[in-house]
Amino acid sequence: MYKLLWGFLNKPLASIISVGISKFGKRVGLSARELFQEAFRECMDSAPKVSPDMIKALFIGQMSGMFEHQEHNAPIYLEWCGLSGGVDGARVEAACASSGVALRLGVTAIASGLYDFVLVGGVEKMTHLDTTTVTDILATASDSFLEQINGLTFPSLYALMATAHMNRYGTTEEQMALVAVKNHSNANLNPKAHMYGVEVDLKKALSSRVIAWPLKLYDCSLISDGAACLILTKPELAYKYSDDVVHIIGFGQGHDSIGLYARDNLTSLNATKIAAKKAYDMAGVKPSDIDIAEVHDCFTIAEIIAYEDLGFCKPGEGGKLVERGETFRDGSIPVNTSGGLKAKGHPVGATGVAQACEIYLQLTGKAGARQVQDVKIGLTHNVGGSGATAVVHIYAKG
Amino acid sequence: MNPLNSEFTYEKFKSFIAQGKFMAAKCGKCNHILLPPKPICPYCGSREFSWIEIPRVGRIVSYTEIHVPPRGFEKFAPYIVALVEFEGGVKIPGIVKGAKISDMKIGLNVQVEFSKDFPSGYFFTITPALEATSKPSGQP
Repeated sequence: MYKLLWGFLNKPLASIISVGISKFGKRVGLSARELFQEAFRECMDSAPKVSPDMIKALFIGQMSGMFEHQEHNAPIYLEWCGLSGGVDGARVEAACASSGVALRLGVTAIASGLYDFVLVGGVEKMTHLDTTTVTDILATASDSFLEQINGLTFPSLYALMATAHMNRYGTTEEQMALVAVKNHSNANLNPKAHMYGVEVDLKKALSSRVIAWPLKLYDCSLISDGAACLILTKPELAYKYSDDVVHIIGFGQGHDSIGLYARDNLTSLNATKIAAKKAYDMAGVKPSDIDIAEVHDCFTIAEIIAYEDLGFCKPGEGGKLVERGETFRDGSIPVNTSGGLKAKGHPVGATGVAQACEIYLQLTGKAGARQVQDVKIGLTHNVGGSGATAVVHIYAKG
Repeated sequence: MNPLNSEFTYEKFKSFIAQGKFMAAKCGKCNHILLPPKPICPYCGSREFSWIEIPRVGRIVSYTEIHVPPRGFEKFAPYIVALVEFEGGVKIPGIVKGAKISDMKIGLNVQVEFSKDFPSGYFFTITPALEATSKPSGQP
């Protein structure tokens, strides 16, 4: 019912008319700005009616300038994309939710009426550094007062959630591994995925080395290079410039304590629940209306918790949801058809917009071998750190 | 002292740790215990606090064993970190010394110990019973 009526009752906030994604992976010899222009060129080539001089603002998510010893990034992306000095540029930082927040700001800019065309992007260059250095830079998104100083890393923070979830609900290591198997199988249908061509079965995932017990190598997302971008416009202009339109009909952002230790509940992310409620209310849809979702699977347990916090199942039943196959491509609610952060890759600042790009491709029927049939309403869920920030967007096929 | 500033700072908390005291800020309005201390209570907005000493024994609410350590923690690896809840509901993470992952369980009691060998200045050891629990002492 909502699916039929929303278009008549609610005006969309903004419309996506084109997307571009770089190849994700180890992109030797390419810097962040060069990766971003790769995504930008694909985005512009897919929108021949839009010329670069029509873009008046850029919001770009990037977690850290420490990866390349380069801050002050927005003007660099404008320069490397051949965009004018008159474009209002801003880099947005919210750890791994950087470009999810950038997208929210882009949507807000369009909805304000002040801009007709806004470029939203995300990028990160990570693989040129050794794992310890990358781990250190990523750890800056956790609490320095009590977490970093006690040797906690991101895998270990999510491991604390996993241990609590296993203890409270009986979630198993096999169920977590199944998330990895699913997302790797999806990535094998996505030529841009970091792990394209790599087969992972349950045995391989379960026997991989321990990173932070109970999380093993295949429970963890990837250190990747990559970029993604999309063009937003006003809904009333969208069809003039593109035949493939996806509307953004709701968004929500939520926050929580920076430290996991300061939260009452370790088995749920309250920031996700806040963001999801805002987004569902704004869009006028319910969790059961969502046909397809990209969720923040930085670790396999994070995807299981996301199912529960987004309302795809009851608290504690996330492990069973994936075990029943519901979130596989042929299930009732396909999740992370792109391969997710787990297997498409997780260039942290690029992730939020890359999720939106996948939903755009799915809702416009352009997702190729991984296309899910009859999808009309999509959702993206992007998390910063161990859940101090979460952003949810809801999309409708144009 | 600048009246806008608060003595309920991280620096002060660390100086207590260095003295072998595990101190937290207790909100004068809603009684929530904040650790590390914060200048404004996130639960009720109050700026009235007092220092209280946290009991030395708490209960494990979750744990992990870290095999891939961050820089500076290589000599500990692999090491167990537990999240421990103390009387009054305040939780704090810390390294558990002298335990094996196979011995770990949610609900076990641990005792806080202080040592300069740990970057945070403290660590936990598994302790059999709760008899060592002391009541919060109020003002230091």
